[in-house]
Amino acid sequence: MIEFQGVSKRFGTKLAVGSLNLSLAAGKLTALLGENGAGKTTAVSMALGLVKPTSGCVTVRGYSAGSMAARSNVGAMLQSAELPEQLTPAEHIRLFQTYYLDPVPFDEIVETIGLTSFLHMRYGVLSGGQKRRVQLALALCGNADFILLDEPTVGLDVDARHIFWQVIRTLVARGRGVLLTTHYLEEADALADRILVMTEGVIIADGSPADIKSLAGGKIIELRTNAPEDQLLALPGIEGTARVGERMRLTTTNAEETLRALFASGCSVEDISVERAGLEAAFIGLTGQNRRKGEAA
Amino acid sequence: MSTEIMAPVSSFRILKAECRTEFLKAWRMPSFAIPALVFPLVFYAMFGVVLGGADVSRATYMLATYGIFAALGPSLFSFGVAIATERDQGWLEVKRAAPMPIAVLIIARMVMAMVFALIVTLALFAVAYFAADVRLPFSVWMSLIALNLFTTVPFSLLGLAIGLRVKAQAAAAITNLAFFGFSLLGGLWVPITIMPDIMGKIALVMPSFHFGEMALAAIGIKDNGLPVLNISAALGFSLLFAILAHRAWRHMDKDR
Repeated sequence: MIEFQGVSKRFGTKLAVGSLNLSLAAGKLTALLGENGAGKTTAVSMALGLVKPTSGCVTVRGYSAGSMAARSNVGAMLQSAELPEQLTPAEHIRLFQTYYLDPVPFDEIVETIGLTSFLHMRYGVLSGGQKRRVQLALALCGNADFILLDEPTVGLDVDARHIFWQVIRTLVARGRGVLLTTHYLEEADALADRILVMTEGVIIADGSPADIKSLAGGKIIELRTNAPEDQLLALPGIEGTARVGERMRLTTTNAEETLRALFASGCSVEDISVERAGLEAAFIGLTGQNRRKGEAA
Repeated sequence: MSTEIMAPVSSFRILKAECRTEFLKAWRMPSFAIPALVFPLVFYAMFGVVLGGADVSRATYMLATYGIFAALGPSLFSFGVAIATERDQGWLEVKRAAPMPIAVLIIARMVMAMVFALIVTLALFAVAYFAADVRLPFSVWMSLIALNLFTTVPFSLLGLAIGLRVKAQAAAAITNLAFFGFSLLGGLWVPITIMPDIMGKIALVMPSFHFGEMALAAIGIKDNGLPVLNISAALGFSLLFAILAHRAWRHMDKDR
């Protein structure tokens, strides 16, 4: 179990992560979904002990994050980490395997991730996708119980991404606990048992992919209005509001009710469009510069 | 961190693997291997042997100082430039997240710098012996080797302090400046005694000068007993560089 207990991190005056509570269990994949700068990487860094929380604590199987015992139980793929380019993937993997008591057999890791064709080439000459695969191999080669993947598929093409997904699904099926950060909704939906939506360091939605999707099951109304935001938030069915240029974007579970009430209020309403909210739209609604009813969600 | 010692795997096993890796990395990087290996040899062959008309006393004198020069390169560059580069690339973070004592990485690099210094020292010996007929007692050859290897330690620590503090490009500039500055102003290329007086005063604040003087004493050229001043200065600089490296490490680790 990896546990975040009331974890906050400030960099100067900026709150990167605010009172995060999260348990990561074996055999489950939890996705941390958010835009760049939402605090996902800071959260992962704290679980690895690379960044010390300002308050609260992170433990791995009860060991303080960053301790040798905790590190032995976690494999990680960091978002922005380049490996020394003079070494080959084979050399990198064999070195990393020496850190662990019970590493995955070399041939198995090469096979699983599909490194054979470039196993003995210098890391520096590999393509972006090949480099990501080597980084994934380092995260997995120790056979650790928990795997933290920080934006693992950024910059990968569709095929490579699906290979990654397959590997990740296998990991979870074998009882590994995986924490995945991503800004691809599709990815979170495809892999996760649980999705946490993070914005400005705060979890604004937490649920199964189905829950998160139901948040997205409503409609998006865009319009121009002179109604103040507080009044919009009080309309029936409203889930959230966001300003998009001169227009307001309303996320609602019932577009008809919302609009009827808005017209009845006597405020000006112009330039209306209504569309079904996909996961993408709900996500923008949740994490844009928005305000929501209650903060809990 | 107290748990640092509880490595699940024998640290010695990791150290062996890291040493091998560091050596491979250095060997395959021309921007490191060439200044580290070729500069001392070519410079010594040219200034120590050829331009001196293979004069034995000149070749002997310069064998001492060029040996220190040979120890400077691998230590400063493998720490100053390579650590800064790997830090910029996020590689150091990957290592810190892995279950390996990070001190092992530092030790492995020092070992690598020593191996390079040893290779160059032996090559310098070969040039001196065969091209300039330098003959020294066995104990003197050995003390030169020991001194050159010891010299890598303080300069590795200085390189580490640089590499942990600044970005890779700045680190390359600073390291080159230190490398050539220490060599020239410390009298490793050309004896301080044939330079203007002011250079002799400047040399006193160059750590490289004191290591060079110790080498000259070992070789029997400075015949006024144990060079107490130079030994104290060399140890003082070593302590200073250790403190700088330690503080740079703490600075990087402050979020941890």
